[in-house]
Amino acid sequence: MLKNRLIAVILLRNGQVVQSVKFKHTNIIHYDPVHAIESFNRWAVDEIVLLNVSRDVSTKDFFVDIVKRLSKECFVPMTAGGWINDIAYARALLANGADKIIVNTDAYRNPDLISILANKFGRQCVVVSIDAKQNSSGESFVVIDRGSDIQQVKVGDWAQKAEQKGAGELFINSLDHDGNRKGYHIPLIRQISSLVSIPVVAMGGVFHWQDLVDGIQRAKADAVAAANIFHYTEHSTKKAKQYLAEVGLNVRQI
Amino acid sequence: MIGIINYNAGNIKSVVNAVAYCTDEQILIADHPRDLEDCSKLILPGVGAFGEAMESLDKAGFSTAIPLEVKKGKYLLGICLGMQLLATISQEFGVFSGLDLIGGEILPFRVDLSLYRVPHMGWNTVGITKQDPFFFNIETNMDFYFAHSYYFHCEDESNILAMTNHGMPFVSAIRKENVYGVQFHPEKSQQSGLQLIKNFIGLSG
Repeated sequence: MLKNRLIAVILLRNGQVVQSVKFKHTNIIHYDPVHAIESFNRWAVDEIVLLNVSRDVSTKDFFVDIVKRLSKECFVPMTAGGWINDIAYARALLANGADKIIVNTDAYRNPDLISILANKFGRQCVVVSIDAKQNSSGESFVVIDRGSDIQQVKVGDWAQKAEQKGAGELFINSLDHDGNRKGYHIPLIRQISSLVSIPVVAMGGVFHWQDLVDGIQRAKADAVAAANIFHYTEHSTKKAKQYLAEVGLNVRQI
Repeated sequence: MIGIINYNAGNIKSVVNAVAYCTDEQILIADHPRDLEDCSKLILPGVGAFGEAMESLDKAGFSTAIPLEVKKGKYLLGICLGMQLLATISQEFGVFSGLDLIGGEILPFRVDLSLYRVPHMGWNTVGITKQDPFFFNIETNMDFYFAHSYYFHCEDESNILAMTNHGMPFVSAIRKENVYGVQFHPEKSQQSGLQLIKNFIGLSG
């Protein structure tokens, strides 16, 4: 039976691992991402997502070098993204050790990018990241460009379109929950999970291990992801995994 | 020397990294069919769409060179799409001929989408149905990493080595003589996956 996945997200700004609070990346956690990936890889994490959150597009090539370096020690799937806007750059990431690619802003602006990438690399290779922002009446709208640009399109509509265009997986974060320590945006993720038939990854807001359980049981996500929390606790991913197993969730044991 | 066949389809670096971790033997990233002659074992990786991958193999001359090397008795391991390319025919985005090294057809998952998501993505148990040196030191029902939307429908059941379940049982490992295939990604399946790669490298006879 397919397991629920635990995913560690590593946010990189100019090559340094940073913390995210509502998409602001001010705290540097590790100077060298190799340390982060070594521990995640050794411990119980099922997958690693590496995001280049730098606002400086010129970091693209440097990011490929980092992917290449990290992939040498990474024997779980690694998804990489940030600033992907064409086949050539996606191919560069895949050729240097990424197993999947993750797209957001450029895919929203040009949804055909998803189809182009899916046709080239297969849909299982293309993850579409969607960031959401709630308005005062509780409706969630798409936000692009690293949380800076709120769109008039509802998250559910974009999620369905991304699936039609060939997305193999959706990675859902909430600007209101990111780094906010109040757990995932459960209604949002549950809604998206019910709208699509591709896997859904929950992201943003994890502060207790129970938040991961809620992501799977209440929000119906297939995989649960977190960033900040994994950097602060020793053996964090192992403890998280143990917790998931103890409450009876179907997770990979190692 | 271990040859990893490079036809511009996907995560070749991951495979190279894993093989390098498992052996001191030299690794050759084979860009040309003639490179295969120097190798004792071949790995056909691949993520992507079947038709496009076959076209790349045809263009580079690999689709004639690979079967020739297999006839010489060299071991070949197809990974994920690389396993599917071993089949006779595929129904992915049209009808395409494969390398036809193991009789079978590539078909889309037919599962209840309200219960099972496609692509089949993540870690799932591999139930060994036939003992093989390939599974040395690997217990049955260990988890391996999968990422695919199509499966290998095997013509001859005696070629099946392992099965996995995702709304329907499907073949997750396959062998016909010196040709092996795995639907999962051993290069991304931590200890069990690395053990499997070691086992493949160690095959002899």
